[in-house]
Amino acid sequence: MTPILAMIRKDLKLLLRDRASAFFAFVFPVLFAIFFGTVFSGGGGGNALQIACVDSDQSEASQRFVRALKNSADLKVTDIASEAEATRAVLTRQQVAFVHIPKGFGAAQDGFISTGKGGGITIGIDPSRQAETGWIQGLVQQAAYTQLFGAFSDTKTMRRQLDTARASLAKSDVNPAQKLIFSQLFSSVEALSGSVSTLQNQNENPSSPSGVQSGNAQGEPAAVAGFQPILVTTQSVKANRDLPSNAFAISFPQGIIWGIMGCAMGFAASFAGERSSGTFLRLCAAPLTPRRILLAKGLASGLVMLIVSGLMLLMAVAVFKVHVPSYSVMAGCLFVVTLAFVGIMMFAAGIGKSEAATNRAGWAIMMCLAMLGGAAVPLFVMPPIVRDLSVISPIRWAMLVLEGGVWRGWSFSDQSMLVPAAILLGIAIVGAAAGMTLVQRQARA
Amino acid sequence: MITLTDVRKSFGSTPAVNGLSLAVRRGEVLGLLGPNGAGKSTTIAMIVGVISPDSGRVVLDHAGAQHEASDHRARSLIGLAPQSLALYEELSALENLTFFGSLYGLSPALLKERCEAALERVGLSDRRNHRAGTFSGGMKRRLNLAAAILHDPELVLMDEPTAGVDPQSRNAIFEIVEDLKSNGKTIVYSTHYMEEAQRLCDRVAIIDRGKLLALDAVPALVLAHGGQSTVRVLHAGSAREQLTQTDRPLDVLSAALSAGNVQSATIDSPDLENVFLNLTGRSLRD
Repeated sequence: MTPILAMIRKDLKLLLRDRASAFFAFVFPVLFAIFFGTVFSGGGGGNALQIACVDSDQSEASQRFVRALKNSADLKVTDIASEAEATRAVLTRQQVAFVHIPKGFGAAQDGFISTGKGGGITIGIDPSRQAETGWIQGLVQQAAYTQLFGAFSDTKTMRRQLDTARASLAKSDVNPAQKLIFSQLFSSVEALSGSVSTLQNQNENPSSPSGVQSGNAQGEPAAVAGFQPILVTTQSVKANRDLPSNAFAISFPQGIIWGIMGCAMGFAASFAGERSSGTFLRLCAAPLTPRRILLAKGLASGLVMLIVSGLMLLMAVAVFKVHVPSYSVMAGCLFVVTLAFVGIMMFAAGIGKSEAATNRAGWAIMMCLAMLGGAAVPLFVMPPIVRDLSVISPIRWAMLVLEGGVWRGWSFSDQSMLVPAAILLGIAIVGAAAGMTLVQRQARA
Repeated sequence: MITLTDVRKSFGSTPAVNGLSLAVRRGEVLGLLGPNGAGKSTTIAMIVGVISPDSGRVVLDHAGAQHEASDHRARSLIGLAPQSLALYEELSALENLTFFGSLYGLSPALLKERCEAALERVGLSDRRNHRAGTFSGGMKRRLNLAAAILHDPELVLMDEPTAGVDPQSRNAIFEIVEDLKSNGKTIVYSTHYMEEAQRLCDRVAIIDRGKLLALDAVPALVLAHGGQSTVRVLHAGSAREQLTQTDRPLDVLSAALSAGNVQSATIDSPDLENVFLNLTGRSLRD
């Protein structure tokens, strides 16, 4: 085995036997990518709001209403016995809000039109949650409308509600002229309900001679469709190419960068450790130059970086459904980024005096460059001034190349990819040359 | 085999080696004797070529060809057992030797044979698969030495090979040195223990503050620089010994015994400690 291969093999053995280094090279990047990908994708449980529901009425109408809420894909409803308990759940952030259906809700529904007395639904929510408040109000109203529209097709229920309404009207102190108007309204509604019911029966029985077209494009019965206050349709809008398709398309390139940084710092520190422990002296006493020794360290670190990044990419594609437009371009991206960090490793190895000092100083600098370069907060969400400042960080250029290969859809013929790739190659050459010069000079000093 | 000619080396403003000239003969054990900071390790590093002298020359002479110490191709002739333990603690004894041996281009079969032989020689065969980090100080020193002789070098440089070592391992190391010498190897042995230099070395170079003070066989050094012997006689009934410095200790002893009434008598012959004291004005242990 040639000396360089022997040194590479030795470094790989040492890496695998050093649990801390192996953790930061192989495990931490994966945990980082999965954690932040999950966080930014909403936790995997969808975006459903968790609310508590207190049904103090326990009537047929209130239970129908609760069912309508539960059927909403945007809500995750938990039944709670009392308003006090529901309030506590919201205060302790176990629930986002509560919906309280008071006693008399069913009776008020039977009154057909709300008189403002009883039956009103209460939503309990932190006032700072303005967006969620609007959302829940909309969903509650939607459930109410659904119930109302349903009532028109249920003649029996509608008749009962109208009878209750007429009885309430008779007892009320509304003036006779207004009573007459309401009475005519109730008669018209009763007639309409009858028509709706007839139409619905005909829709359910295709042999009906009415000849009325059934349903709308969404498949709803014509009678219900006609009662929608606003017609809402959904239009497909294709996502902007400059944004990733899912959160893991962002977090896995970031995780790859953390893995590569971990390898670079680990190998740089181990080189410094060899210089202070005496093994470097023995290596120099062999028929090897200090440059060859550093080159072997660089090759070993590059190999590990490629393995780590390759495995992470495989996981991203196979498990987290990250789409990679071109695997050959992606391979080129990983290679270019690896070269750059091998150069950085060799430079750090050249200036490191001891293992501990190299670790401390190296990680302190790399963390700052990582934050600035988009390895924590993605580049595309940074404010322009920070994005401009990030040009000094090699991490920024590495992130651009990786993002270009994963979700920006760049190729090496695009200038957007060529510029950061060229910068990374420059970093590789300068770092490696500087590292070798420093090591050679210090060894002969 | 090795010639150092007016070699100088400074680290910053501190001269570590200051005009050192000496020659190491083929097949001899040359001791470098001096206190800590005398320049012994720097001298060894310059011989092996890992440090370049500021001025002067270090030349290796082998098979009629001369090589500058800085020529890395000459390093296959040299085995180094450095003062700091140059071992990978996470690797086993065998893995350490296999790795270091592979740096010298040994074939796999020869490498395996040499590793087994080296482990046998230093008494670590039964610990071949144990991590070096689990070894005692003495065992690590022996493994350190095994890595130096693995590729059968002509010249072996040992920098304080018994530092921090138990007596058993120390004796084992002495036996290895004597065995290497009997096999015709050239050894440069750096130490600050005079008894080691006296036991093992054909010639001893006394070094202090980067300068060579004297170089000769031990008896010659003692004769030239050791000063006089001391005869100590305790007479019966006397509380104090009578001390006599003399170049003829046997005559003094004989006269004291003839006078009678001698309870005890001792001759303290000069040693390398006295040599160093007389040359530098300081003790070797200072």
